[in-house]
Amino acid sequence: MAKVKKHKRVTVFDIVNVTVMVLVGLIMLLPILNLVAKAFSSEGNVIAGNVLFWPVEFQTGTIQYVLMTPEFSTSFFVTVTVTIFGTLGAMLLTVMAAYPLSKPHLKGRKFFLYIFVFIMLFSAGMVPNYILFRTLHLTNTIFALIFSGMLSSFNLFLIKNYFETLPEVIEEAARIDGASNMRVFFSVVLPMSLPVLATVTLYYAVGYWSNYFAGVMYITDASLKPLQQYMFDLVTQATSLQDTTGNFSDVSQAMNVSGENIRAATIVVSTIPILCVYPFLQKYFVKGITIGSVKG
Amino acid sequence: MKKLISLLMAAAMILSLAACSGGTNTSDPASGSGADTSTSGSSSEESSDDPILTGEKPELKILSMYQAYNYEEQPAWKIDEEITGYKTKWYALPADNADQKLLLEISSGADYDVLLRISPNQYAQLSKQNALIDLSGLLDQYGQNIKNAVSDLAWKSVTNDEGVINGMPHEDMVASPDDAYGMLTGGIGVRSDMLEELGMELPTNLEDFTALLKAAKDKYGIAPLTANKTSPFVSVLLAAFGMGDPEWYDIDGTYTHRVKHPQIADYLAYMQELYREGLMDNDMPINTADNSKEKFASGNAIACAPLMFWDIPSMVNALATSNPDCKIEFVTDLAPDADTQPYHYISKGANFVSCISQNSKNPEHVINWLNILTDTDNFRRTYIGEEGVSYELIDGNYYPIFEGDDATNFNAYTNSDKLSGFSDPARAFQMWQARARKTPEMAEAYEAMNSRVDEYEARVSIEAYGKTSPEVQEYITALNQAFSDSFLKAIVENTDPEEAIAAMQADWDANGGLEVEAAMQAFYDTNKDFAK
Amino acid sequence: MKKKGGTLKYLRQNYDLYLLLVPALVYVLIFHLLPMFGILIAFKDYNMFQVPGNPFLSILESPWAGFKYFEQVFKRPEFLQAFANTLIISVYKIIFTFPLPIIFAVFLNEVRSTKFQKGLQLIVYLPHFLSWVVIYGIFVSFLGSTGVINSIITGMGLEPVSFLMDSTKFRGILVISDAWKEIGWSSIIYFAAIAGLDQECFEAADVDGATRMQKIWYITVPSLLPTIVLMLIIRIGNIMNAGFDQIFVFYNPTVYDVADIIGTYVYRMGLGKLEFSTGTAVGLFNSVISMILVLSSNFIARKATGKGIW
Repeated sequence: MAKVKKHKRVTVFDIVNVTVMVLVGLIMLLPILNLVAKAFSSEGNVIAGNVLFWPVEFQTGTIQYVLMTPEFSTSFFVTVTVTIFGTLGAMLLTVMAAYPLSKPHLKGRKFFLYIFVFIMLFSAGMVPNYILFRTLHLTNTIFALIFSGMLSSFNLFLIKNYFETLPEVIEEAARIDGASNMRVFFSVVLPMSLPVLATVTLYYAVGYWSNYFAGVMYITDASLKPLQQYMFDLVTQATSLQDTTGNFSDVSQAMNVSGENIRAATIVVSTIPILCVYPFLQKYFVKGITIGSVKG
Repeated sequence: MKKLISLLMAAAMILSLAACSGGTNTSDPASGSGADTSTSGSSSEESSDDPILTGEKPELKILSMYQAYNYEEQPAWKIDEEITGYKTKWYALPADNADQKLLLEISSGADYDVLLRISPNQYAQLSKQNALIDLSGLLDQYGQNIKNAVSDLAWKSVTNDEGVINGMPHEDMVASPDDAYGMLTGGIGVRSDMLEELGMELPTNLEDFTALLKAAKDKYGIAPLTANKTSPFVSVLLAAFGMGDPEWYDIDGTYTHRVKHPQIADYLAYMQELYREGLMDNDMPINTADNSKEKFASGNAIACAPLMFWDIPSMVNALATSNPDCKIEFVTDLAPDADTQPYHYISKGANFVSCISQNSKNPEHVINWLNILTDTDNFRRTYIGEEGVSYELIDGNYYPIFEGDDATNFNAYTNSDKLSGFSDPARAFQMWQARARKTPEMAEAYEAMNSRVDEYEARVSIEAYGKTSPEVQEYITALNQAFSDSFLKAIVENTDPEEAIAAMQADWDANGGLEVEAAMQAFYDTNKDFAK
Repeated sequence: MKKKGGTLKYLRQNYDLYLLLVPALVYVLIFHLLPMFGILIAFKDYNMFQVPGNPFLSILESPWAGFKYFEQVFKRPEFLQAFANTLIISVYKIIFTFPLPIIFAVFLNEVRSTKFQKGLQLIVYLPHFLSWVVIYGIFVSFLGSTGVINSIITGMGLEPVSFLMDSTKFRGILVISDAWKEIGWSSIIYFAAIAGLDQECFEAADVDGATRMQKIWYITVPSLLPTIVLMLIIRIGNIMNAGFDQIFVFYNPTVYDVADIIGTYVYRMGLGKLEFSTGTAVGLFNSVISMILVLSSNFIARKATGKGIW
C-alpha cells in the first residue's frame, strides 16, 4: 500500500476548510467551557452571571463536594457497572445475531428481519414492561438496568449492513481452506469490522450511561439509583423548589437546594467518564485499517 | 470450539434469565416475623401484653417520596431506630412519573409496609381503588399520639362517609392566625442599594410599588421588575386585587376560583401595563428562575419576583460580586393603596399523606412506629435534635447551633423533617423557624419582614383539603395550566382584559370547570368553619 | 421428499448460524414480544386494580372500550394543529439537520492533520451529553432581549428580536438548537464509514489528477450512500418524534400555535397522566405511522438504489 504523500501544497480549499472547522469547534466548545468554568467558580459569581469562559474566584470545593456526596458515588458505581456489563452483553447479542442475518442464503431471514423491524417501531409501553420485570423479579435489581435496552434493532442493522459490504471472496477463500462458519466469523469477519464495532460499542455504552428511564421504572432502592436519575432528582429538586411561592413544607428542602454551580459540577463530573470512551474507540476509525489492509 | 462457545453463550443467557426470575424472593426482610411473635408470646407471662408493643420488632419496608439524597444516609435515620427500636429499609419513588410508578407498584402487589409522605393526589387515587387498609381501629389501639397531633379538619379530609380512615395527613407547618409571627416568608426582592439611591421607602401598597418601578426605569433605563416563566400569578401583587396565594376565594358565600374573581381583569390590566410600559422584564415568558436571579444580582433589575428568604444565602454572595453593601429587602403582600390594611393568607393543608396498602405485612407495627415518633419529645428529637447541641432557645424562639460535630449539630437535621412523625402544625412551625435563622443574613431578613406582621390581617385558606377530591383532580391540572397559559399570552399580546378574561372563563366552563366548582362549593359549605 | 432432504442438509451445515441468532431471539421474545399483549390497554378501560395483586389479569379483565381513547385524543379541536406541528417540525429537522453531519464528516476528513480531526471529533461530540434544560439556559442567555445576539442587533441600531416568543422564528430555533446538540453525535457513524473506505480508489483518482471536490463527490459520497440511506430511513420512521424533551423545555404559551406537538399537547392536557389507555393509544398511533413510513421508504430505497436496509 502506497504511503499517502505528506507534503502536498496547502491550497485555498485547505485554508477555508480548516477555518470553518475551527469555527464549528468554537461554537460547540464555548458553551461547554462556560459550564466547566461555572463548576470551578464561586457560587455568588455564578448566580450573578459573571462567569463566562474562565472561572471567577477559582475553587475546587464544589467538585470535591460532589465527589464526596455518598449518593453520587453510589450512583456512579451503579452506572459504571451497568454500562460495562450491559455493553458487553449487548455487543454479544447484537454481533452474534447480525452475522447470520447478513447471509442472504439464510432460510427464514426475512422473517427474522421483520421481527427486528417490528420491535424497532412498536413498544409495549410502560405498564406491560413493568409487569414483565416484576414477574421476572427483576425490579430493584441491577439486572433490571442491564436487561433494559440490551438490543437495539438499529445497531443490529448497522452491523448487519456492514457485514454485507465485506467482499464475499475473502470469506469464500477461508471456507475453501476448510474453515467453518464460526471460524470465518471470528477470524475473518470480525477483524475486518472494527470501525462499525467501535461505533456500535460507543452507541451502546452511551445508551447505558444515559439511560434514565430504566431507573425510574424499575428501581426504588436508593442504593441502585443510576447516575442519570440522581442528576435529574438534583436538578428537579433545585428548579421546582426555586419556583414554589412560599409553601412551608417545601421550605426546609428549598434551603438545602443545590446551587447552580453544584449542578454544573455534577454534570461535569458525571459526563467526563463517558467522554473518555470516545478517544479510546477513535483509534479504530483510522483510515486504511479495514478492507484495504486486508486486501493488501 | 467456537461452536461450543456460542452454544454456551446462548445457554448462559437463558439460564441467567431463569435464575433472576426465581432468585430474589428469599430476600424479603419482613415476611412472617409479625406472625411469629404472636404465637411465641402466648404462653409466657407477657401473654396479657400486646405482642406488637412488647414483642420482636420486624424491619419495616418504607416507600416514600423522591429525594436527591438517600434516606438511609441521613443522621435522623439512626435516631429513628434508636428511639423506636425498629430497623427500617427505605425506598423512594422517582421524581418523574411518580404517580404512575406508585400505582404500578401497589397494583402489582409490592409489599411495602407503609407508604410514607405520598402526595394527597396519589393518596386519593389509591383510596379510590380500595388499595389501602382502614386505619381507624389501628389508630385507636396503637396511635393515640397520632390522633392527638393531627387536626380535626385534616382527619376529616381522610375519613369517608362510612367512617373509614385510609390515611394520616402530614399537615403543613403554618403559623397560627392568632400568633402570626413568621408567616411572611418572602415576596418580591428589592435591591437595597438602588432603593437608597432613589431615596425611596420599601413599598407597602401597589401605588408606591408602581411608582418605585417607574422611578427605577427612568433613572437606570432598565426593566426594573424581573420574573420567570413559571407563573404569571405573583401573589404579592394579587394581594392588591383581593387575591393572593390561594386559588379559591369566598365571594359572598360562593367559593370562587381566581378565573372568576371579580378583580381578575383588573389584575390582568395591571400586568399588561407593567409589560407594555417596560416596567417588567419582557423576557418573563422565557426566563428560568436562574435567568431572573441573574438579572437581579447583576443590577439589570431592581426587583425580582418571586424571591424567598431561603434564596438569601446564595443571593447575598451574588449581590456582593457587584456591590458588597447591597442587601435584599422584601416587598410582602401589597395593599391596593395607603389607606387599606393589607392581609396575608395562611394556607392550611397537608402536602403529604401516609397510608398503608393492602399488601402490607406489618400494619400494626407501622402505626406503633409512627406513634412513637410522634410523641412530642421524640418529634423534637428527630426534627431539630437536642437543646444545647443542635439548637438553643432564646426568648422562646428556636435558633440553630452550628458549632461542634456535623454529625450532631444543626447540620445533621437538614433533611430530618422527612423522617419525623406527626406534629401540631403551629408547634412544628415554631421549631421550623430555627431553619429560617440558618445564617445571620437570613435571620435578619426574616425578622425584618415579619416585623411588619402586625400590620397584616391574617386570613386562612383551607382549599388544599378540597382539591384532593376526585372530581377536582380529574380536571384541575389541565384547567389551571390552560388558564395560566392564556393569561400569560394575554399579558404579552395586550388583548382587551375584559374580553380575554371572558374567553378564559368560557374555556374553563367548557372543560370541566363547572364540575370542579360544584365539588369545591360542596366542600366549602361543609368546612367553612375551619377557615377562621 | 427431496426438498425436505435439502432443508435438512442445509440445517446441518448451517445450524451454527441459527445458534448465533438464538440469544437475540430469546431476548426479543422475552423483553419485546411478550409485553406486546399490553397494547390491549389502548382498547380497554384499563383499571390496574381490576384484579388486585395480579397486574396481568387486570389487563385481560378490564372492560373493552373500543376506540374510545383514540377518539378522545383525535377528536379534540387542537389535535389537528398538534399533529401538523409534529410533522412540520420533524420535516424541518430532517431537511436541515440530516445533511449537516454528513457534510461535516466529509469535510473534516479532508483536513490533513489526524490530530486536528480527532480533537474536533471529540469537541463536537460534547453537546450531545447536555440535557435540554441546560441547553435552554444557554440559548436564553444568548437570545434573550439583553442577550449577546440582541446586543449586536441593537448595536447596529435595529429593534431587538424576541426569538423565543416569535411564532415565525421559533421553529428555526428548534432546528438550530437540535443541530447544535446532535451534529457531532450523528456524524460518528459517517466517520466510521469513511474510515472503512478503500484508500486505493483515492490513490487512483490522484493519479488521474482529480480535484478535492471531485474526489469527494465521486468517491466519498457514493460510498457513504448505504449508510446515508439507512440513517434516513430510520430518521423518517422517527417522524412522529419531533423532540418532546426539547420542545417541552423550549416552548412557552406565546408560541403554542407553532410549537405544540402531540406529545406536549397530551402532556399539558394531563391526558396521559394516569390514563394509561390514552398514552398507549397515542403510542400505538405513532407506531403505525412510523411503520407505514419505514416500510414505504425502504421499498423506495430498494427500487432506487437496489438495496434497502433489510
